[in-house]
Amino acid sequence: MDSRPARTETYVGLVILFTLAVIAAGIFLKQFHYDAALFAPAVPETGSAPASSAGSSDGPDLSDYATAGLSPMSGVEVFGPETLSEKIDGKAEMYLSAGFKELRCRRFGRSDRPNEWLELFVYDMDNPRNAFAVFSLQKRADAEELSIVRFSYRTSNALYLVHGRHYVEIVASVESMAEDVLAVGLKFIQTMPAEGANVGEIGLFPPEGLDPSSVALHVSDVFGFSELDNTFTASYNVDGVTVTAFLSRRKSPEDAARMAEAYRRFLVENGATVTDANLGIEGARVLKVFDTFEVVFSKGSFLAGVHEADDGDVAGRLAVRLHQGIR
Amino acid sequence: MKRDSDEKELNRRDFLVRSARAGGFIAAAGLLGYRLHDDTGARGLSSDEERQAVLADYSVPGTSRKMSIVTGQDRVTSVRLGLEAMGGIESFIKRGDKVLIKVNAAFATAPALSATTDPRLLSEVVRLCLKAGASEVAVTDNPINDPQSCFALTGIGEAARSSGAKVIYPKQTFFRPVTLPGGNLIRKWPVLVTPFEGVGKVIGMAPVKDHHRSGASMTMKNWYGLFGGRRNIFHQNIHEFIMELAMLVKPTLVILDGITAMMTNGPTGGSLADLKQTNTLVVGTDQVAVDAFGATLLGKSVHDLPYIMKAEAAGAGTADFESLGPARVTAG
Repeated sequence: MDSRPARTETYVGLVILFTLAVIAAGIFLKQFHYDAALFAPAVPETGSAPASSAGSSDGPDLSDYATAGLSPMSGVEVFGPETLSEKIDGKAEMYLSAGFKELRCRRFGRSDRPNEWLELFVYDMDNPRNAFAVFSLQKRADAEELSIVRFSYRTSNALYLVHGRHYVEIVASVESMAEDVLAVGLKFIQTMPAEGANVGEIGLFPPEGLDPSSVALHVSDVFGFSELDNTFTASYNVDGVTVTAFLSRRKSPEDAARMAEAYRRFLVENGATVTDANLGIEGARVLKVFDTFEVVFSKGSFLAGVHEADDGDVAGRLAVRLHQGIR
Repeated sequence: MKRDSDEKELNRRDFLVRSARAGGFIAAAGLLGYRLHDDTGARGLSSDEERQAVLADYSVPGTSRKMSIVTGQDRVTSVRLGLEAMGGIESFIKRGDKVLIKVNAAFATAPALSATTDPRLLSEVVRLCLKAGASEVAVTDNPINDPQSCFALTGIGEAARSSGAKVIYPKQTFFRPVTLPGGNLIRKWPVLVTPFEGVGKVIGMAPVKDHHRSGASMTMKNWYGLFGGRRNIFHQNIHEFIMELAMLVKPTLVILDGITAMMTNGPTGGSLADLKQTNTLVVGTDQVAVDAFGATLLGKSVHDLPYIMKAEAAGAGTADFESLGPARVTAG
């Protein structure tokens, strides 16, 4: 029996081997010519501030929002999910986990006073809920609440607001530009069409003792528990004690009950003990976590409770009110 | 259908012979790949050569445990007193030294927002270096935002030039791959090394800031700005990375500006409401100790910032800053 390969088979084999040898030689030679530039970022050379760093170059250049006395200092910069950290470094993670789509920003300066300028940041967060999340998580403690849109406040040099799916920051270099900052914000609201920012769960927090400015939406890794996401928190003043309530809409009542159990288990695994307190709420548990108290329950599709309260009685009373408020 | 004689079925012997040959080729290819594997990095440099060529040990022998903590509101007076308490800048900068100052110019923001190195503080440090006899002082950083805007709007560029220093803006060609011997993360990564060439002394200057990922940004994290490439991937392992930064860069001095600290919404901040007057400036040779003290200005402990304990465990310094017997000075 002749087991030798056919001539055609031999030629094909030789061609394949030759091709592989050429590829191997290419790799071998190329690895002696490492080019750091392949790894280096687009380091802008002096005098070449980027007009657009990423994302879509289509879209507004933000010049429409410049008010009297302000003129553009730079081109519009555009950042997408892949490049957001090139603008805001370590804070990008928070935006990305909240559904960030695109950032457009641009600086405007006063032509008569060169050290006075402001920067307008327009974050497209895809929907008002996501925009509210990043707005609320960065709320400044001494903020002055504004009524120009439902979610807006200002500090001595900056303005922050939610307008439709956009989260907007306007930051000035000096406090004396406060009026310019407000004027740009108002022009943005008037010029940019937007749907109202309806974040339904906020209305479920019982109003008595609530600090409305404290309501925040945490999108992931809530209270250090990686499974818990999309959770609202709100601060209450109960008999002079500050307490935090929380609630989270889940997919179904079964999912809410499962998450309540998972969160209780997480707390216990981290040193909490279950007390025998009875709040009159079906399935509710009061846990002692070192020196604080945690109340966890589910009602319908909601997971809810009280977080890190110093006083167990206060925590229990707030939990009962929260339970009554969830419909 | 007629079958070609070449397509006759293999017998058992032929099958075994061919299998053995194929196995031999695969084994030989694997062995060849193993022998050709380049474990030493680009351009044939050994890891040690890469590190030595780029980042030497810039510390001054005998000064490894010096630290001063100044309470005051004026940066210029505070840094002057802080250095005097450590024996004067002449203890660190000698006549003819070329000095490189690594600032934090990460963002194109106004100095008042305290997200970057304060220009007045930088001016004073440059002036003191030149007064001590430095032949040249250079200031550099590879900012997050575009360099020209960052150096201009922070006031750092003008402060450096007006006080006699030159500004080195990052360029693609200034980066070379660097490996930290024994490091897990810093391996053949492009680092801004050209500004270090010919330099004898290195000073790191950073503000005290909250940081969304690492908990705080101070002197150790300031070296992050020497890196190029898609460096944001290191945010996934930020504490390990900052520890490696402290192992990679051995500076002459670090200066931590906590006159105003960014308490919230770091590292960018943006609102003056994010800031707090903490009225403290720290100068030291042990960056781990300096950052450990800096944590207290943010209302945190070293246990809140895992990278500090990791850096101590790796031998980059001590988290027990009190063990250095820091000089405490009031600037009035």
